[in-house]
Order: sequence, then C-alpha cells, then structure tokens
Amino acid sequence: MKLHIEQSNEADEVEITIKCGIMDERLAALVRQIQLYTFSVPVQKENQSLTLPLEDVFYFESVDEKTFAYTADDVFTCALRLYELEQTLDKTTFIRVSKACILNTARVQSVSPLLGARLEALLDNREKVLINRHYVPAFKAQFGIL
Amino acid sequence: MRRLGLFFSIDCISFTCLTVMYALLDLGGLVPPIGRTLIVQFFLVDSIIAALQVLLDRFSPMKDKMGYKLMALQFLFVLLPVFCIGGLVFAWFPLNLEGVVYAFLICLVVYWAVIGLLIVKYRADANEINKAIQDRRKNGT
Repeated sequence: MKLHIEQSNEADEVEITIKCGIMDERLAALVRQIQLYTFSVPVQKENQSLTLPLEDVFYFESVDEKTFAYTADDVFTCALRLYELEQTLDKTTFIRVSKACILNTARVQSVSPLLGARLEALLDNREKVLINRHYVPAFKAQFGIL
Repeated sequence: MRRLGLFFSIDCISFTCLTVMYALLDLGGLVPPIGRTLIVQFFLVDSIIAALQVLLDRFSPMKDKMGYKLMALQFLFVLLPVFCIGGLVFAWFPLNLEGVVYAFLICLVVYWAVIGLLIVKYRADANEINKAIQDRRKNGT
C-alpha cells in the first residue's frame, strides 16, 4: 500500500482519497475509522456546550427520553435523539445494541455470553454493556462474522 | 435465517434428549416400549415446541435484565404442548399426580439440556467475536 501525504497551507480542509481494487475487511475498517475521525458530536455538561470527538465516546444511552454520551470517565448530555445518532453513525464503528443504547465497537475489549442469547460487552474502561439478543447478529456483522 | 437455525437447533437437541431419556426409562422397564408411532409423536411435539420458542424469540416483549422472566415463559411454552398434545391427545402419561410430576421433571431436564447446549453454542460465538476483536486491535483498525 502506498501512502501519500500532501501538506500545504493552501489546503482549506483535510481531503482523503482512497484508491483500491477490492474493499476488504481491513480497508472497510480503516474507512470506518476515518469516518469516525471526521465526525464530532455536540454535547453539554454543566450548562457548557462542547464538541466531543466521536472516537472518545464509548456509548450513547437514552434514559427518560434524554440522550447521554459516555466517555472513559465522564458523562455528557446530547441534544440528538438516539435514532438520529443511529442514522448519522451508519457505517462507522457505532452500532445499536439495545433499544436504549448505541455502542462504539472500537471500545469493546471482549464479550461474554449471557442467558437468553444475549452478550455482555466489556469496554476499555471496564464498564459492561448489555447487547440485546435481537442486535447480536448485527453486532457480529460489525466484526465480519455472518 | 438465524431463526431457522434456532428452530432446527431446538428441534434436534430436544428430540434427541427426549428420545434418549425415554429409551433409558424403557431399558429400566419404567415406561412402555418405545415404538415408531411414539418417535413420530415426539418429533411432532418437539417441532411445535421449537416453533413456539422461535415465535417467542420474535415477539417476546421481555426486557428483564437477567432473562429469568423470558426463561419462565420459554418453559411454559414447553409444558403447554407436552401436557395438551402429549398428555391429552397422545396419552403419553397418565393424568394423575405421579404421571404429571414425571412429565414435568422430564420437561425440566430436556429444557435445561437444550439451554445448556445453546449456551455452549453462544460461548463459541462469543469466542469467535473475541478473536475478531483481538485481530482488529492487532491490525490497528
């Protein structure tokens, strides 16, 4: 693989072009990572508006019709609804794992089986997230397992 | 496709467990000899149970964290065909206290055998995902 980087003061924004013959799983994963890098999500904490890079988000959760973004050690409120995030984050490492949760699969360290065909995901910050049985096939597909 | 796989898994595992258990009881002289008709009846009832479990998997409103309510409902959907079809229609067991208790215990053993084997399958699936996670992390993607 050849990697060209052109750095110039004339460039207004970062532009990434990928030329490939076949889009294999590793390349698709790289594209997902790039898409993740280009997105950020507006959040709030203690009446302060912030922009959170998506790669820092471990998961989004909806509680009492409010959306929360969880990072390694912090929680932010997010103005976007879960279904809006799901649409925006399509084809990234984020995936719906239950009715109330969208998980960043890049932050999953391991999974364990539970009764009722469900999975429990252990995240990098040692937090555990439940993957509902209806979402297990899509979760497996994220890792190229059909 | 996943539900078709679930149907065949439940059907095959429960049919095998039930037939083997009945054959063992037959060897011990505790039940009438196992015959072709009984085997076909077992397969029919097992298929109905498997279909009910798949429907439950599709339409279950259960959201309990531990899954115990769902398991109770699954077991109820095992008991219903066994008692209604096996007990009332095919007369597999006498409908007295002893017969009902034996049938209940056999259902319990078969249900846990199916759950146990499905857990082995889910563990294998989890191991496959964990391997994919490790590969992804090793490759830095």
